[in-house]
Amino acid sequence: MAQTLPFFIPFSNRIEKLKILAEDLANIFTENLQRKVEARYLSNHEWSVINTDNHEEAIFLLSQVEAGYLEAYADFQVLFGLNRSVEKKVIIVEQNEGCRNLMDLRDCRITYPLCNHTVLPHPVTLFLKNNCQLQEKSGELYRGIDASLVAARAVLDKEVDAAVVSSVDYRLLDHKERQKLRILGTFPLHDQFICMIHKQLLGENGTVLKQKCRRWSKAAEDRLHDLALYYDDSNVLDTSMLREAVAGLGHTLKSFLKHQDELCRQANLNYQREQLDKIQEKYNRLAIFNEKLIQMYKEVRGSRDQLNEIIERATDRMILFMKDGTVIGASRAFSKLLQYPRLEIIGKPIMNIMEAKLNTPLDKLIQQVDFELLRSFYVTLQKKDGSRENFKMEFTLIELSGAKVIVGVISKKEHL
Amino acid sequence: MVKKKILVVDDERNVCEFLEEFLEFKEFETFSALSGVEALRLIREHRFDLVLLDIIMPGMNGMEVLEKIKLVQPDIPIIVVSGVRDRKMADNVLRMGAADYIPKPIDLERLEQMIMLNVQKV
Repeated sequence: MAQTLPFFIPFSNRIEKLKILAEDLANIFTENLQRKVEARYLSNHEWSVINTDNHEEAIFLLSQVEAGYLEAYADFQVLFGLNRSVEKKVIIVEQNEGCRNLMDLRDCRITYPLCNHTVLPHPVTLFLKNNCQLQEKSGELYRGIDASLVAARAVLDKEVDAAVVSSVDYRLLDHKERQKLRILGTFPLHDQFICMIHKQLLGENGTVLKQKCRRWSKAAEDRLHDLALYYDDSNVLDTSMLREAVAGLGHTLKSFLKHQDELCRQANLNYQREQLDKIQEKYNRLAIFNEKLIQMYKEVRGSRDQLNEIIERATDRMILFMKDGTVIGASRAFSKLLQYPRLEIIGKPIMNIMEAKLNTPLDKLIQQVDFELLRSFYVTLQKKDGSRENFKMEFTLIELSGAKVIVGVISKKEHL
Repeated sequence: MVKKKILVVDDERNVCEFLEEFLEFKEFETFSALSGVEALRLIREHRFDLVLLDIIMPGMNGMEVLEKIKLVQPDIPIIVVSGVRDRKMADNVLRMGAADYIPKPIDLERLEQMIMLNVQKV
């Protein structure tokens, strides 16, 4: 009896539900290939192709890079693809610029919204990250507006040399705008699974097997939707830009596959380092600002102390308070008159020691002073010994450290 | 004893309310008008012993109101209250027949003295 064929399923740690679909597919393959097919699940970072010696004797569900490798170096055929999105990423340049391929973008300024939002970046993204001046800004700056559209317009406005946008957003551009742009190439928006089988293994069953798979996809449509996967068996594998990117990174498809994890880790590390540098820069600016703030605070405190000294020494019987009535200073002459130590008055409401000799409450009169309607009126001051005396008080508004302060000066005593 | 009647004319409600409160404390009967038109209507309806008049008001300003009050009741004392500290303007309103002029912010003691003096004259 012929040996069992393995059907390799990647990322099974990440997508548990994929296993149910894999079992279905394994059954379809078993029926049509007259060989027992068994699903084999790989963890997130196991690459099936480079870890399998006998490629011809296996069926694979692969990433685009692995599929590209098998297509280029072995006689494999695509059965179908499972895409995360019908959208693609599109690299656009201005029509009149001389860019013809990915290599021409070296050292160019490129807007690529959300380019750091993938753990496992596509080789094209890696190439752009390593070789171009990438600006992710649009995504942050134009939150709420479509960052992709803004990025495309940045090319037209010559703010950047190229932009990576989604195919849907590209189509949303005006016809006139699109005429001024050229598509340099496309690559998948999200991870892509491509099912591949060796031509020899497929034999003459190719067309029938493809039909069966298509029928299965119709029946499994809801389950595929559940996994946000779209079945596609037309022109699934477009590797032109992929190969260029891999070559640009100094690798062959095989060596890229071997070092893919390391390359991705390095790219993510670089990004994190950049972010860290930015945070460090912000922190440094904040530290300088903080120092300035402390200096300013010292200066304010110095002038406040100076003012307090002046007030304290004043021969006028003077009291300073905020418009809510909180006393913030008093001259020695004032506290002597009331027989209160200064510290017993400061910070307390002025209403504790003073009331108006009118039917209007003191807080309302203070309000009128603040509105600049009143300049002076008679007040009754309550001394520490409980005795009360009436005085005329003159009020002036001053500004102290940006706050309005009322200065009250006793101008004369009421003689009854 | 019959209370003396005072009319307060100021476009700011807060000022009218405060002065009314103060004058009532000093045992006057008070009325207030927020505009020149309202003031002239009240002048026609009542016999006031004194008017406290703000100069800067929207629509008909204090000068015009002063002129018109003098046409209706030439003998009524009018004390002009103004936030504008301008000697020339003070001279102007006194020439136009105002009894006195007090700048804002107001010294309440001085205002009271002015009122008492002018009300007694009536």
